[in-house]
Amino acid sequence: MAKFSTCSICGKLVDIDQESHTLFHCRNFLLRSFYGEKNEHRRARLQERIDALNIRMRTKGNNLLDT
Amino acid sequence: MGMTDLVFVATSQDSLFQETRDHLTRLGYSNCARFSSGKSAVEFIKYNPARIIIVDTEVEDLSMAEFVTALREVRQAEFLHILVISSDRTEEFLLGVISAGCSGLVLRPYTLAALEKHMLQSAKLEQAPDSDRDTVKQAETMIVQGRYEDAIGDLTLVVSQEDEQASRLFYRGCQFLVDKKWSDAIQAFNQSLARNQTFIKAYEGLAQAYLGKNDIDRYRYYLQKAAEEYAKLNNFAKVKKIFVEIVKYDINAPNPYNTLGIRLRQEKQYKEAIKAYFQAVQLSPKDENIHYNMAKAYFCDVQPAKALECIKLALALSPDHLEALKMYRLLTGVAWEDNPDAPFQAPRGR
Ligand SMILES: [Zn+2]
Repeated sequence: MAKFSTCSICGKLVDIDQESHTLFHCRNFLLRSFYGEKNEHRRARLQERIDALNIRMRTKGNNLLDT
Repeated sequence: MGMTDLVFVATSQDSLFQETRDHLTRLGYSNCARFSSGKSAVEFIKYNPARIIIVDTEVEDLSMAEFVTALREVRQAEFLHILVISSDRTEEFLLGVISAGCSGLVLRPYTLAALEKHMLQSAKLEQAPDSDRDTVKQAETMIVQGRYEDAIGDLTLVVSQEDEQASRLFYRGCQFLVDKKWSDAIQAFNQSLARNQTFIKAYEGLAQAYLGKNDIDRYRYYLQKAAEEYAKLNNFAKVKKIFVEIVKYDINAPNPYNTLGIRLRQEKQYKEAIKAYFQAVQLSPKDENIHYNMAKAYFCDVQPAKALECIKLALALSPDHLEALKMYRLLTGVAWEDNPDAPFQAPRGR
């Protein structure tokens, strides 16, 4: 049976055995939520988390990476 | 008077049909036929050339977007003005019918003058501003008359022009969608489609002319070229559909072309993905992630030297980009820290 675990950085439910999940996957996951978020407050919160991750990964911007 | 003088109106509502027919009569279009079922309309149009079909509000068995898509599919290379009349002004609806390929849009309530403008547009569309369409038509006549050399000369001129114009017009249409300039978008897509259709007709004409001259190799070659143009048409339709989804749902995406490129790369449409990334880097030239993505598309398309160029751009913008560093090593066999300007090196030991 698949073992799932919630990623502590982005909150995605990850299949530990099957799915590769790097910081770029975290960033993409947050970006995808950000893209579709209509609520201004939640959007701002997501942007903060993306900015923090960008600094940590030494990248910038709000564009997805093809992982 | 032929079938082409008929105006077809597809609607499931009797009162709307009567209203539209009255308007058309007042505008001088007295010959008007009705469909209430979308599917039977498509079946009919498939076998009978038509110039104008008005799609009014709803048909029985298909959504408006499905109906327009189906009409375009059965009349790929032919001119057909699909005019949508509707009172639905939601973005979702508009994106749907535009991406399906309507060539005109009238929103209720409308004036007679507005309808007239759109009806006249069909004539304008048919007499495209470029003279190529005329040339192709004349060449078709020459072929019937057996004047193959003349036809070949004229048609070769048409297809010798750069054929990226359809693509450029297509992406102009996409940008108008992003900017919510609906009628500009429709116009750009119309022009892009017309360009494709002209090339299809020209290649088919060349094939016929060479067949007439018994040159079977060239006949096959130009049939293949025509098939490639049909494939382009299909690709545009697919890309447009994906792009519209992105515009609809990813309302905060800073660069929808980047998202489009990723989707196309994942669907193994590498050449299309690369085109999308060209748009993406124009919009965000300093985004290392987009350069990386473009590198990946080039790599998948077996253009490693191009991939390396893109990866160097990405690393120039972000020297610590882990994925870019990995791909640099894969492409050159050395680490970027050791040599930031290494040439492409095919992986050894295979
Ligand atoms: Zn994560």
